[in-house]
Amino acid sequence: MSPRTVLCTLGLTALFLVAASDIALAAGGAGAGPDIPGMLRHLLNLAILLGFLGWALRKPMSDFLTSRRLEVKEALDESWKSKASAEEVYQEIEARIANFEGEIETLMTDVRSDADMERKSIEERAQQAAAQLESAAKRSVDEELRRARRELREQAIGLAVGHASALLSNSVRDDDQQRLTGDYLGKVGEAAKR
Amino acid sequence: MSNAVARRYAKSLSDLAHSEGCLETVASDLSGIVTLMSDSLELRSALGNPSIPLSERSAVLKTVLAKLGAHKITCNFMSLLLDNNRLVSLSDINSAFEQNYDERIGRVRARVCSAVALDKATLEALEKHLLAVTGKEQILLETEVDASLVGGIVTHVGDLVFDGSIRTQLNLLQNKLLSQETPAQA
Repeated sequence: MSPRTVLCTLGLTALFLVAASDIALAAGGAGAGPDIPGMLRHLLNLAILLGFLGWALRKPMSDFLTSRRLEVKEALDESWKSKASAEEVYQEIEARIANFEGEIETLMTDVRSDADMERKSIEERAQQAAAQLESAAKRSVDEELRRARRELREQAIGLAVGHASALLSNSVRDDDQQRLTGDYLGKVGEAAKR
Repeated sequence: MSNAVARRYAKSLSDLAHSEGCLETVASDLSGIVTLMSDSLELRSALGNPSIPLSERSAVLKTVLAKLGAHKITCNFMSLLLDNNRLVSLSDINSAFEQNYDERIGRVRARVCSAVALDKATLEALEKHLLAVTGKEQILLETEVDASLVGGIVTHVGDLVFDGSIRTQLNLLQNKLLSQETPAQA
């Protein structure tokens, strides 16, 4: 509402109050009977006042009402939307509640399936680990066996050669030494010829 | 001292002795000094003790060399070794000198190791064969008896080895047996 409109409205309101007081005084002060012309004059003033107010406030009131109507309409639209959304949620919850048993069954089936797969996987891993352990143990045993055989063989050969050496030391006579020396000189002589 | 340094000392001495025509004398002197020093701990201690003044150690060395009747070149060389604190390497120097001396006179040394002592005829026959093998003019046999050979002879001539010992044959047999795979290993 503009300041001009407000001032006009205030002025006319003051005029109306003056007129209303005149009407009251006229009604109380005569005492002999109704003052018809006076009342008519006041009524005319009132009509003029009301007409003027209606003319002056027509545009602001119209704007106000339009704005208000739009607000109400928007609020109403928003309410409809909220209602629609709430109904959707409601429908969804209703549907889920209706399918609750089925969902639980599906969930249980999935859980059982996952558990079975996990069990199989654990069993396979355990079997692989057991096979690897068995293989490693077998290799270790084989290696130990080979090492023990090799050491036993080395010891046996060492002992045999040691005994042979001792026997030869005691049994080689002078004529054997002479023969060995002769063979040796022969071999060195052959090397000299080459 | 490294062998390279010992060889340089030995070569210098050998060249000088050769030019003076006293190579054999110096070689004999040097060998005698090395034997004396290896046998006498007191002499080694006296000459190698740094707390004894050098002049006194030099006097001791000169006295010893005079008693040995060493050649002048030998005396000067020993004094040089004492001054340079190289007497500790005398054995290495002597080895290098002997090698150098042998090369100069066309001689080779052979170490003959046998299970029993060898007679003169055997040694002469062996010397004859070794001369033919090495192509040298002289050969110096160093004999040694080692009963662990069980039987036979082993001769080292430079890098050559003639091994006819029973111990080596037994070792070869042992290695051959060890190298053979058993059915279980195969």
